[in-house]
This record gives sequence, C-alpha cells and structure tokens, in this order.
Amino acid sequence: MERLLNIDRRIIYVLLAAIVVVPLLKPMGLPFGLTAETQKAFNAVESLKPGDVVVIDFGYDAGGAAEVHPQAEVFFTHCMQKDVRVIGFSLNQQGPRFADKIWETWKAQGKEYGKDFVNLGFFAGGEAALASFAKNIPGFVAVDYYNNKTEGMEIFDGIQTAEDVDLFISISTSSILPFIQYFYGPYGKPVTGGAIGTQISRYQSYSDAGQLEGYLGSLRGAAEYEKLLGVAGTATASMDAQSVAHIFIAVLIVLGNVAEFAHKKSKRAA
Amino acid sequence: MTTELGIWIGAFLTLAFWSILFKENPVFDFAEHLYVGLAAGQAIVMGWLNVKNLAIEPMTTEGKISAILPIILGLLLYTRFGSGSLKWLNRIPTALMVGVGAGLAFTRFAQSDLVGQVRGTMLDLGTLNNAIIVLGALCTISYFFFTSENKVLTEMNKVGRVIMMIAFGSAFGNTVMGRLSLFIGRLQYLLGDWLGIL
Repeated sequence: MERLLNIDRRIIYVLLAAIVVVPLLKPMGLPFGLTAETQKAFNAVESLKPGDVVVIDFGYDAGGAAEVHPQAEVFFTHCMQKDVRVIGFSLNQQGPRFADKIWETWKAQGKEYGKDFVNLGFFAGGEAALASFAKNIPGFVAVDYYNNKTEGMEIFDGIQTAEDVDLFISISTSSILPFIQYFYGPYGKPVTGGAIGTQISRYQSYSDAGQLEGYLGSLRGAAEYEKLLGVAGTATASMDAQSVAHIFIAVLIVLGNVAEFAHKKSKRAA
Repeated sequence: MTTELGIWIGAFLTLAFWSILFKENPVFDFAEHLYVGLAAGQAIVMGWLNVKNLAIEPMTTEGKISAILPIILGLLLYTRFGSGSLKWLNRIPTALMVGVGAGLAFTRFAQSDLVGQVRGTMLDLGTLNNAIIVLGALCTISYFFFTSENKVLTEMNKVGRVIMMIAFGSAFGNTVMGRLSLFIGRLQYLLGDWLGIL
C-alpha cells in the first residue's frame, strides 16, 4: 500500500495516455445516453422556422476549443440545416477565428455570407457591449470581422433589437450567464449555450428555473447533440476514450482511498 | 503524416507543453513564452481594430463627432503611467467604467440571478425532485446564517453541508470530464490531423 501511495505521477500519465489512445484507434462503440439538457437545447433550435434569427457568441479561445468548438459546430450545423440566419460575434478575442473556421465549411456548401451568416468579430466591453448590442443589433458595429460594411446586409432585414431575435446561443469558456442577464431577463428571449466541464453544475439551476433552454456540457454534450442530429463528428468519436478514461480515474480514486485508509490503519496499529 | 507546416507547428507545441508533465525543460519554457507573446499580440491587434472600427472610422467617414469621447476617455487612462499633476485624470474613465459596470451588473443580477432563481425554487412540492430542490435550497441557505444558534437551524445546517458536498462532488466529476475532453481533443489532433492514423 505504501508503494501505491508513493507511485510516480508520471506512471499515471503514461497509463492514462495509453488507455485513451486505444479506443481512439479502435473505437468500441460504447453506448451513451442523452441528457435532458441537451435535448432541451436541441429542441430550442429544432423549433426554429426558416428565416428566423439566431445570435451566437463564439466566446472561447484555443485553450478551451477542444471542449466547446464541437458544440459550436453542431449548433451551427443545425442552424444551417434549418435555414435560419446566424449573427455571430465573440466576447473572446480569439473567438471570431473559430467562427470563421466553421463558416468556411458552409460557404463551400453554397451558404451566402451576409444573408445566411455574418461574423461581427470581437466585442470589447463585455457586459456593457451586450447591453448596447441588444438595443441596436445592425448598427452596433459599422464593419464586420472581414472589414465589410454591415449596413445594408440582407441578414439584418427586419432586425433592430434583441426583441427581433428568435434564439440566443452562448458558447463560452467563461460564462453564459450574461446572455441570461441581457437577453432573457429584459427581453424574455430564449437562451441556450455550451459550457466547459468545470461550469456545468453552475448552469443546472438556471435550466431548472426555465431561464436557460438547456445547455451542452463539454464534449459529451456535443456528442449527444451529434447523435440527435444524426451526424458522427469528432465529439462522438471521442466518447469511447472519454468513457474508458472515466473508468480509469474512478478506479484510481477508489485505489487511492483504499491505500490511504489502509496506511492510516497500519500507522494506528504500529 | 501531413506535410502542412501549420499542423507540424501545432503538434510540436502540443508536445512541448506536455513535456512539463515529465519535468521542467527549456522546450516547455519556449512554448510557454511563445503562447504568452502570441496572445498579447492578438490582444493588441484586436484592441486596435476595435478602436478603429468603433471610434476612428465612424468619426472620420461618417462624421460621428461623438465618437471622440471614448477616444479621449481611453487616452486619459494612460495618464496613470505619467507623473505629476495630470495623473489624477485617469480616475475619470476608471470611475465611469466602474459605475457603468456596477450599474449594469446590479440591475441585471437582481432580475436574473436573484428574482429568477428565487422564482425557480417556488415549485409544487408534490414531486420528489421538486421537494429535494426546495429543501436543498433552504438547508444550504441556512448554512450561511451565522447570527444565532438554534436547534432546527443546526440540523438544517448539517443537511445543507451534505448537499453542498454532493454539489462539490458533481463539480469535481464535471471538471475531470472537461479536462479529459481537452486531452482527448489534443490527441485527436496529434493522431488524426498530424499523423493521419485516425
């Protein structure tokens, strides 16, 4: 037991890496269920009609992209499939690049920039920017991420304030709560989003209270959404590795506790 | 294996960052400093684009003279780096930012986090889930009453403590899941985009 307690952490890293690589190379197709939160988020987009307007915050950077970029991909894919208009921006400086990366795929499939999608770039000012954006969506920025003039873009037809938007989606590594505070609170508009694992517990009470139309939790949430959409993307491909790694961590926690208790017991006996 | 230079750089930097797990080394230091430098450079460029797009261009091309106000206030922030009699001027934009931020946050917080969340606990107690939510909220709040000792409150405190422990356990589990997702994402990049074996 003493040896178990003093095991070199690097051995655990190597074991974890080996355990994760195997199912990535040889997928096992382990089943995973759907959470009510993902279903609610999916339903929020599914209920939209062609021509409706969705605002998406690509609020993440390279550090958190592995967790939330697949969420942005599935939300965007669903929106494009439903023929809704997507107004994108980011409260993170690196976010617009990720929006651009997703848009490249859809541009190649015939979607039209300025009509189906617009990338308004990075909004400085955080919450103050959101409050201002909500009051004047087409005029909030004069030029978009690509330096095109936003005035007269077809995507803004019939849109003036947050009142004219049908759904707000915040995909963020910091917080999706400002969307509740600035779009659900004052305008009563539905809000959903995607979050990193460390923050999921925080959003449950907002979803229970009806302030959030569900949310996607980490890569798992994206995989569930892919399942609902009927596409097998990067998130689904990672679920076997995720499940196996969780079992490994759980075994380590049990072993660690058993070793700790045994160690304490032997110390007391001595 | 890919021949794209960008992916090779990404793979090298990923492995460089992971090398810290073995021990401190110069390759990790290089990657770390590079990341900090790139992030700072990106922030400067995006900051400048914001000033240009939101203030300078509206002023010069659309004749929006009012856009000069945020430019002046922004410049005043830099007076704190100077010395002498003008240093106090940085308090004006700072006070404005604090005031606007606090005002906005307070009203929105009261509406969404206070009223909205309290309303979320006004539930029909006919179902077990709802009863757990209401009792859990009450017991957890009671844990933070520090004013008087009371037998009922003491018992509620104990339940509140257990409920908080369950919440912390859930948060820890989600954190593990999140960190593993990041790790798997990088592995997919290395094995798929770089080595091409996925």
